[in-house]
Parts: sequence; C-alpha cells; structure tokens
Amino acid sequence: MSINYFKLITKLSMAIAIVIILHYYLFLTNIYWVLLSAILASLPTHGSIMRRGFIILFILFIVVIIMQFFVPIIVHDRMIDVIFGVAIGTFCQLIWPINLVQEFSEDILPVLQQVADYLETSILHFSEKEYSQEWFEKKINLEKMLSKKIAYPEWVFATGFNPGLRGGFRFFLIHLDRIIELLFALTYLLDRFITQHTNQMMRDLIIHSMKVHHEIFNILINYFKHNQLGYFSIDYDSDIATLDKTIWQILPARLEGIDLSEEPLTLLALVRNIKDTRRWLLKLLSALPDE
Amino acid sequence: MSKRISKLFFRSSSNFCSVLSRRFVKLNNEIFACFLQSDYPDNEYLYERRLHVQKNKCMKFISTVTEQTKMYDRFYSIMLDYSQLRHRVPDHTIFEICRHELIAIRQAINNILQNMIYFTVNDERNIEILREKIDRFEDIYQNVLRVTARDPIAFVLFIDSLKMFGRTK
Repeated sequence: MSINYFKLITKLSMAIAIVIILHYYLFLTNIYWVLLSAILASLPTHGSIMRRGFIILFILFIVVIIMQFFVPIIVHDRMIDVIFGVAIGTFCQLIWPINLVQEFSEDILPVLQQVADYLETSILHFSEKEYSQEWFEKKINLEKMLSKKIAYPEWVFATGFNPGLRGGFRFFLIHLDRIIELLFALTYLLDRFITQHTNQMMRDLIIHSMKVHHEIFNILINYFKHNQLGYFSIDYDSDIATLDKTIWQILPARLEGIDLSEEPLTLLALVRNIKDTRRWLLKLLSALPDE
Repeated sequence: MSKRISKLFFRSSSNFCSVLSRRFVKLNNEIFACFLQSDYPDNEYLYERRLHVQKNKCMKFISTVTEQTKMYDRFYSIMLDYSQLRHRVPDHTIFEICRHELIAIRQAINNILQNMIYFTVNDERNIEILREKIDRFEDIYQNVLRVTARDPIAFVLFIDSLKMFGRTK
C-alpha cells in the first residue's frame, strides 16, 4: 500500500483542528480521548470507512470499561468523547477518500515491471545461456517483492472493500498471480529443455513466443503508467499456432508415444506453459477498460 | 567457542528448514484442496486467495535462504507446475474418479517435505512411496482418465511433474 503522506497529514490536521474547535465551543470533558479516537478513525483504509469506524468505537468502549477499574473516570462521559472523536475521524475520511484506481495503478506498476524484467532475463538466459546467475537473482528479487505486503496490493482483498471495484481488481490480481506461477514453473522447464534438446527451430519459436509475452507485458505497463492503451498488434495468436503445429510434427502423433519418454514430455510441458501464459495475458489485456 | 557457534548455527538453520518444510506442506495441501474440494469452481477466488497466501509465505522463506536456495526453489517451481492441473481441467468432477489416488499422492509429498531437512534413509523410503502412488495414479489414468478426460494431456503433464518432484534432491 503506497501512502500519500500529504493527504494523510492533511486529514490528521483537519481532524485535530475540528477537535480543538469543538472543545473550545462545546467544552468537551476530556480532549485527549476525543483526539485519540479522531486520529485512529482518520487513518487511511481501503475497506469500508463506516465499518472501520464502528470497530474502533467498539474497541475504545472496551478500553474505557476496563480502565474504570484502574483509574477514576466517569464512563459515560468518556464514551461520549469517544463517539465524538470517531465521528470526526470518519467525517475526515469521507471528505478526502483514497483514489483506489490511482492507488491500484501505482501499486501494480512496479510488480508488472519486475515480472517483465524477470521474463526478459529468462529470454536472455534461454537464448545465450550466460545469464543463469542473473536470472536466478531476478527471480529471488521478484519473490522478495511479491512476499512484501507493502509492495503488492493486498488491500484489494480487505473486508468491505468497494464492491464496485472489487470484482475487477481481484480478477486482475488473480490472473496476474496465475501468470507469475507459470513463469516460475517455466524456470525448471527451461532448464530441462536446455539439457535435453538441441532442436534450434523449436528453441527459436519458444524464444519468439516469450518475446511476444514480453510485448504484452509492456502494453500492460504502458497502460498503468499513462492510463491509455498504446499501440498493440492485432495478432497475438499466430506464434502460438505455429508453435503448436511444429510440436506435433516433432512429437509422436499418438498419446502412448508421449507417455513413454521424458524428452517429448519436457517439450510438451514447455509449450503448454507458454500457451497457458498467453491465454491469461490476453485475458488481462482484454479486461483493461478503454479510456 | 567455534563449536558453540556452529551448534547454534545448526540449531537455527535446522529450525529454519523445519519452518520452511511446514510452509511447503501447507502449500501442498492448498494445491491439492483445489483438486479435491468439489466447490472449487464455485469459490475459485477464495481458494486462489488461500493459495496466494501460502505461496507468499514460501517465497518469503526461499528468498532469505542462502546456501540451499536453489534446491528449495526447484521444489517450489515443480509444485507450481503440478498445481496447473486445476486450470487445465475444465470439468472438475473428473477429480472425483481419482480422488483416493490424489489424497495418497498428497500425503506422500507431505511426507517427503516434512523429512526434507534430514536426507536420511527414511527420505529414500518416502520417495519410493511417492513413486508407488504415482504408478497407481498412472494406472487409473491409463484405464479411465485417458478416455473420460476432455484434455488427457493435462494429466500426462501432471504425472510428469510429480515424477520430477520425486527426483529433486
């Protein structure tokens, strides 16, 4: 989750200012309780603002009830303070809500760039064999990035997240996740292929298809960067069709033949991985709104 | 002093590996849940989300290991490869036919993952058990799935991936 500090500071300052003004005119019994609950309720959230307000209210009520056993306080006065504070905090959230579409674009862009970078190194490794270590490092970096909650827009799955945007954002993340899965599985399939096969034609076709994958990734990156679909080719199928046709010229026509030996299976698994990746990439591309 | 340091290092590294193997077991369970749970097509996002959480936990560990990263990474890549079966089989009811075999394979893989930090004779026995379970699955594939499945190659690739898992060391 990327935090816009300017917005955050403005919201907090606004909440504090309202509390001070109300305290001056209404003579609230304890300004600290109002401040605490107002600050907590005005912190940014991607889920439902009202729901978060009620949760904070509930927690602070419990804190007040427990505190009365240790500190001499008037419970109903503190509860009124808490209600005031939460109401002010929630009001400040509503004034300047988070732009979820912009935030999603900002969060997903580095992930897409990292995946495209990893794919580019995979192509280099597959075509020139000298990038083994670099390829592995890129993979580890991508894994590090994906496992960080701050870097990956996990907030899309938050409870109470905007129902209008939920479907589209989750669709995008789940499909991107499938593509990343396939690219990680490609690691060991490419290694297997390199040790078993010397067919240059097949190798060239695979490299070409991977380059088309990279091109589609660049379109996605461009979309999230400039909020518009740039130029893209109409034909993203012919390379896959050629790959499919060529593989069945190499492999035994009957399924029994494939079952027996390992080499045709490696080739088949690799081509299937590339076909699946393309399928999910095209789904993502076709799901982008035309703006 | 150096003995003490090496002892401490071993203890922490073995602890680290045991946590990693637990994470892998959980990931494996989530992968097989996608095959075995009949409500997967209706609640696809829910299952995918659970899988995503487990994958992240594994990745977090893999990316911090230094010496044995490549081996764990290979395990992880193969697991992701055989998990593709869930997308490649359009008719989910087909998994009902091979349900018992899939459960047995899941258990055999879990046993290997639980013991992967020791590399003992026990480990070899677990691999042998996995091979037996794969053979049983291959039998059911040859007799039933090859004819009934809309895309039998998906199962061929699944079996191949499982065999590769058994060979990873």
